[in-house]
Amino acid sequence: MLLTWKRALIACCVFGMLGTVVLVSGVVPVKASSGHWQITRWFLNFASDRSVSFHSRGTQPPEDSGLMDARLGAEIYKTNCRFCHGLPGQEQPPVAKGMTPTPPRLDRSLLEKEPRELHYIIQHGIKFAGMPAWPVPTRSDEIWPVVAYLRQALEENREAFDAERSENDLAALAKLPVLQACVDCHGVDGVSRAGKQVPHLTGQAEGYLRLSLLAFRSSERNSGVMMPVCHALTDQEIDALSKHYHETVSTNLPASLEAEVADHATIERGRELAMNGDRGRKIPSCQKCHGPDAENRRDEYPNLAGQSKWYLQRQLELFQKRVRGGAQTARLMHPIADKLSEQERSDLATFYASLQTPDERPEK
Amino acid sequence: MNFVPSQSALDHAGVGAESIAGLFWVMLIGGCLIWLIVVGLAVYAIVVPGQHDQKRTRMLVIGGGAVFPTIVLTALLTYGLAMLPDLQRPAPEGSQVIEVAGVRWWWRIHYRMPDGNRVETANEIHLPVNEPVEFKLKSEDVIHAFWVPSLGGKVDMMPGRENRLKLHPTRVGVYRGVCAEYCGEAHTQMAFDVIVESREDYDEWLRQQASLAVAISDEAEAGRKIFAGSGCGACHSIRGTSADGVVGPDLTHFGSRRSIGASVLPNNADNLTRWIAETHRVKSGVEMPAFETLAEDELRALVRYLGELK
Repeated sequence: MLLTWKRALIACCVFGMLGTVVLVSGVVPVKASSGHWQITRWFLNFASDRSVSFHSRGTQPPEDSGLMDARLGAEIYKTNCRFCHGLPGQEQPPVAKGMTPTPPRLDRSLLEKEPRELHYIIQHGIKFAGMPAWPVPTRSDEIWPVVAYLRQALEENREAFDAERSENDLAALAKLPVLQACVDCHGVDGVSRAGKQVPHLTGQAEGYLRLSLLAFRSSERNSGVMMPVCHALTDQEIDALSKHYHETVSTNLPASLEAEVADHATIERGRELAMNGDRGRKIPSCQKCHGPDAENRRDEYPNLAGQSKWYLQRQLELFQKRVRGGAQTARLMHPIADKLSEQERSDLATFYASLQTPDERPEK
Repeated sequence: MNFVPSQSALDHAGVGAESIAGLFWVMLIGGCLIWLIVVGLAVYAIVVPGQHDQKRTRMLVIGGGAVFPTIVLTALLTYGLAMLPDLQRPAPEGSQVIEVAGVRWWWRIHYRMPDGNRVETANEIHLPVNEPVEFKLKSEDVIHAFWVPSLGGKVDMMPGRENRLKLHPTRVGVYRGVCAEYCGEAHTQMAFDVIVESREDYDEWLRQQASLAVAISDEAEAGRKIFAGSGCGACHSIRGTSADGVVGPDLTHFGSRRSIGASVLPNNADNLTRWIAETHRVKSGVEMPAFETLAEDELRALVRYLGELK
């Protein structure tokens, strides 16, 4: 039989009609219970690996190892990843096992992947595989600790990576169980246990803590770490946590390493700008809202003394890029952050990081 | 009193403005005469038929096209220039000196006191009647121009240099000054009030402006705390309190001013409330952020406090 245009067209129409009948009748099962065929699985894995390898080129882990803190990564992993993947090296949890494709078991074979590839997968997720993208596309810096944790956990062959909890911690948890969500990063006393990316909460203004938690819960403040944690909190829990960290004033705020090594001139430049602002460039002083020694400081404004330099500088950058978000009061910061140079952000952050004593608590 | 005071160069109330208005009328009448002559000649040329006399035509062209304008323009220039020395002459030694800086989009004002101190205020200038006053004009950002049409001429305010101007008001009243050089988004909302008053009233006003913030009622004290705690003092000064910001207008005697937002709205509680909570709807582009998060009672206390700063 000769292949002519006419015959080809008729064949296409017949196949099209058959396909429509199959589609509309619903005879093809979409059930996950039967899994994929071997060849489908191989094909999807291969395509996914190639795509990740291709698209992740050019991504570099941060040079500063302080931004790849495995302790922080471990806690993020527990909130965001563990439900489907289980702990590194362990079996997947039973519910996740029912997925098609099944979330991969994260064993030592994962070490063959480059850190940039892991970062890419966590940031963007994988289509058709149930792997979600990072909750906030603009905060890819939050992902490196997870990468660091995965690699460290697998390299050291440690099944669990639980932060140690002291008697004191357990007593506080017994009194306020919801602290469970916070303690391994922020400590019971509000002093960071997971590196400089985690802010100290000790003695922070209660109103500021409450508004921040509410803003994380409603996704108005952007963080792939804090949004999932706060999503699970009730209003009462948010109130209790804000009160707890406000009232717990720790005197042993660790010295911010970056501020310690900063030279005197940097701190003084930061102090000058923070205390007096800059009239020529219409930059208001920071001190009236953020201390130190601000009169009647509003409960919604954060106290900045003693935070890590990295954290403060990062917030100013995020304000400038309009990706930090936050409670309504955060908008006050946008025009100010727009005027600050990189050098000034660094100077200001260094100055506040160098203030070791927690500021006076705001009057209620 | 009308909220928008006189802003007309023809409604003159100052020595400089008077001569400028005179110049305007001379120019206007002269201009009308010339227009009539030119149009008349044109009509004549069209209406009268036939060939015009060659010699007379040449004389008309040279006379009307070159000689006449030269004479008229020379006369006008002489007349105009003759006014300049008087307009430009600085106010005599010992006159009040007022420094005004244009800032997008408001006016920072300093009165130089005899003791060498400077008293800061904003957006409202008081002048004693029948006395020359010397202005030092500056800019803190872009080019602005200082102009009180009823009182005198217009002078540019340039970043990095100081221009001067003498005003000599002759009539008690309220006048409006404006920025007369396009300076950005809120240029049209950059105005100020000039209050010309008797020497006694003026002295009383200046004495009060030089004083620290007045004592306030108990209700307003709550407002003072909100002012301090919300960070208003990072930009605004209220002398005698912890508020010592230098970015925005000095508010030490805010309650005594006629208007808010550089003569945008009359100064009353409702307008001030609106200004604080919806700043950018009142005046788009201003540096001040809107304080949307203040509760109603907080706003009320704050407005009361500012209103009591007489």
